[in-house]
Amino acid sequence: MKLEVNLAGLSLKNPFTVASGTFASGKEYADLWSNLDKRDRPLCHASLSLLGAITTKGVSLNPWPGNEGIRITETASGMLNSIGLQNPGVEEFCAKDLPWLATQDVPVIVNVAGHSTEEYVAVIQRLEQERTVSAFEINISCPNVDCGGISFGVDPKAASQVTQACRSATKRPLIIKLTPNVTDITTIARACEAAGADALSLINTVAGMAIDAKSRKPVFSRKVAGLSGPAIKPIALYAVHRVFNAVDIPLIGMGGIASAEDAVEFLLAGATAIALGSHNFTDPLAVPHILKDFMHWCEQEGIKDVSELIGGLQ
Amino acid sequence: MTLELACDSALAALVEDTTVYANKRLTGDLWKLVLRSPRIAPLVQPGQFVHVGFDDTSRHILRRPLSVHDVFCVEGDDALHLSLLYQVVGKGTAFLTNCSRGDRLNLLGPLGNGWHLPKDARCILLVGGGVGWAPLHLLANTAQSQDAEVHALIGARTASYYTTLVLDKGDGPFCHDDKPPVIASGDSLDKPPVIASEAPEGCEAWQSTAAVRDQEASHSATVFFHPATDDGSLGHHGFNTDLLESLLATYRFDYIATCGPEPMQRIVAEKARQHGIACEVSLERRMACGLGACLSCVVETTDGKKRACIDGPVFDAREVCW
Repeated sequence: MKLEVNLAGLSLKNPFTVASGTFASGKEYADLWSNLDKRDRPLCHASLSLLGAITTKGVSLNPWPGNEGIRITETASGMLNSIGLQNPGVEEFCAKDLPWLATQDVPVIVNVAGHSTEEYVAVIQRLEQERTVSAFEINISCPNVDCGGISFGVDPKAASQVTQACRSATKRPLIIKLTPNVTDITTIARACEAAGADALSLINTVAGMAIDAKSRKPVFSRKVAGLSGPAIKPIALYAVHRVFNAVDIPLIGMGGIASAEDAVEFLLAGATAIALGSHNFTDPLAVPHILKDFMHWCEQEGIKDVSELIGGLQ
Repeated sequence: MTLELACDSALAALVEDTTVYANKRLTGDLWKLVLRSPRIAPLVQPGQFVHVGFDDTSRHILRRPLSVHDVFCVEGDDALHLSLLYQVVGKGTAFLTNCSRGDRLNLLGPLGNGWHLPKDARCILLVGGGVGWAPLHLLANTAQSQDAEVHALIGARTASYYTTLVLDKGDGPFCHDDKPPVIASGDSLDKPPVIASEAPEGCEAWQSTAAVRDQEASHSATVFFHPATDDGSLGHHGFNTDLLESLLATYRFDYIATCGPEPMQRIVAEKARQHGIACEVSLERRMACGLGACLSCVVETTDGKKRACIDGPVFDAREVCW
């Protein structure tokens, strides 16, 4: 069975990656996976190289402290988060995370965060010096920061401008991560494609809110937070389906994937690769477990090449 | 005194499908869950926690972090079991109450940075607020095995809540009875309030144990309990922190550990600082991954934001920005 997929020139040994922010740079999970019993392992080596690619936590030019107060709450079949892209900045990322990632035999998609177009570009320019970086995923869709983030992702002109600026800063695969919090996601998708994006990731979290009835106050300091988990899967699936029909570049589908069958559904809707996000919290062995189930599913269904599934919706 | 590791540094975590041995309401909204855990239980260090997964992940997608209260064997089974005390505060803990013997629960653990009891500690104080006693219980055992004199200052809502917390020693899953073993007068320190851990009868118990203490004989079987209750039904009527100053004046503690409501821990940390005593606190945060990846559970420290799941839950009291 052929599991390899090609994502905008990036060869992935299987279609699985992780959603930015749920997995840091992977070391915490790799440590756990290396403790697995052999019988739990779907392949002979349980390390990050199980993944088709790793997608890192968002990296900004300078250190960001993230948001104050409560950062997560559980919802029906999902969760809200308001982490606020806390990260130590690109220099520390290059010094601490990239050397370790270089030993992991896995393509590295670095998620890039910024408050301004210049900041996105500056992060890319710094990372251009690093051989370990396989591709960039530009986060123009985070609902949890005040300036930048989602403000670029809800306006086709701004999305196009950021994409263009990033495009001129790198020749490596450029992936733009889209928000579902827009009137028509295909308009934004087309704008990014026209501005030079090689691929699109969708969806980022859905904007939501939680209220503490007793204190009569919002749970999160910024009121808004990002909804993820199985609750948003139908929204994500529909977004992938629509964008697949609107653009010619490959898609990374994500949003509530919690089983091999979920992953298959995203491929059928048009995703070339898929990302596991919140499900890593439910099951820290989600990647090995779902990959094993996925291979089993394909075998049962007589799938010879996983590419047969991509956009295979009838 | 410098803090040092009482044991080897924490081993890497595992994922284990454990079996529910017992799950029982102790009193009010306080429950105790006992899990058969042959793989994780042997690795637990005092102060560490496990991340409990539910089998209804279509509704509850997040695990719940619960401190390990005790590790022990049950009769007729060589495999180690661990106990968790939990208070029903939300949907997750409410769901846990539905578990019954034989059910499977997926654990991730042991997780976190536990207590760092100094090896040369002679006399220590544990300050627990309600269910915050849970991670202090194993520490009390460790301290006793090091021959340290252990004082436990415990705040609880009522006598029955207190009694359940303290008497449930974990040498059996539900070994408590409903009567307080010894009434200790927490607010009268000229007669040190004492309960022997062997739970003897009535007032004589504390007199005899106190006599042992006075003769500076072995303290290894003794924890001196100082209770405070919200309703005054046992010990001091009021907050346990009301008793701190007089305890600190009476005994020469060389280490303080605390867990419970954060305002309580903050007072304990401040008193420890004033008296120059090493103090560790165990902080509770909402948690997603439990592994240090998601940054949901951060704690503000003098060294920036740290993660309760992996840098904590136990922190040096001096580094926490309250």
